[in-house]
Amino acid sequence: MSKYLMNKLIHHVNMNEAAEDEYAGNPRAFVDKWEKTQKLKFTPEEREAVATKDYGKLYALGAHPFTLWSFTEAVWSHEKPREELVADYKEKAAKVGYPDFKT
Amino acid sequence: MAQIVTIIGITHNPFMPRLFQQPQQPPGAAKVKERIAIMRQKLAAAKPDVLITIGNDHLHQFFMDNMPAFMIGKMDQYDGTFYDEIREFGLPSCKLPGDPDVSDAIMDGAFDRGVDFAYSNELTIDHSIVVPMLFVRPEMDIPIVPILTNCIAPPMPRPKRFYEVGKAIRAAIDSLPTHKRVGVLVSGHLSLEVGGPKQFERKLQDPEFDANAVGWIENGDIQSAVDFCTPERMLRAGNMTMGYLNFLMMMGVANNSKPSYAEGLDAGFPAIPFFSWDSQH
Repeated sequence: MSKYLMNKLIHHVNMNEAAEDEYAGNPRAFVDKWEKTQKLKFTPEEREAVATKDYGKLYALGAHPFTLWSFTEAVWSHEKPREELVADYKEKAAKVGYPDFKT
Repeated sequence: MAQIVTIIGITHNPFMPRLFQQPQQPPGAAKVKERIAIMRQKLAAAKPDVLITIGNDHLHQFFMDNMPAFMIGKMDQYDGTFYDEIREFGLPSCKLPGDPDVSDAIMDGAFDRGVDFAYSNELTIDHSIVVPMLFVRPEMDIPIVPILTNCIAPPMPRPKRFYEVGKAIRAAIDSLPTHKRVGVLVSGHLSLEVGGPKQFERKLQDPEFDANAVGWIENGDIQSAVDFCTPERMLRAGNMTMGYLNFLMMMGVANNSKPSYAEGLDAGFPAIPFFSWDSQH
């Protein structure tokens, strides 16, 4: 489990416009490159979730919900209308309830 | 000796400043703006020389690589806010003057009373201080002393500790070696969910929690507040309800006295808190 590292990537992408653009353009390539600069490593499941912008999975794995939503809106807003994104995010979150997001 | 001339507790809902600029606003918006105007007038009437601004960082300046429980800013001027908040909420970039001498004096006074603040000489503040300032002092011309809490990234300090830290801040303010008029501006919320299955519901998230939470402040009943606010109960009220804990710190700053104004406004949003103490002795 490396909830911390998931949060770190989400936080980095969310707070930096250049990283946001690069990640949104090619998340898998961004994640591969970024992880090499880190001391900690993702689990295979976490790596796949961040490489595919899979907000439902990230939520289920215990990413911090406050930052996760902000990140999700930033990296999906060009592909999905906001209303649809909000509804899908909530539906996916509802399926798993309240995973512990303590790190 | 310094004098506390007002204590105000208010929402930091980051969507509202933009909502209030829009031509079409939901019906409840007028009631919210009316309350904000009341608080703005109270602050203006109190004529503070310095504002102690208490809020919680939202994983911006704080992160899990180095997470303080409570932090005080010590700068001549503070930047607000961060790139993601400008993008997501449409908040403006702003500059707020600081009062590092008062920051130092409060930190020293807190150390003397068993509260060990972290401090920062390079602090950017997020919506927990920027939004209340936009609401009650949009001129942003009063020097601030920002105090930030961690009530978002567990493990977190206990509810009782928020109150105790508030008491220590109060005692430190009362002993400030200055005749400045001190205002205290606290932000937080009542039951709230962000990034969970119940986010963006235009209604009270947990009316029972909200009614109790306002009642403890109204009655100065800190014991019931700390007994009720277990992690499990707060989560049941909404996954970000821990932001209420800033208001327990506010109760400490008010020495648990009864407020002049206390309301959890139901205006078609999650409950919107408004509190004030118009004089302190």
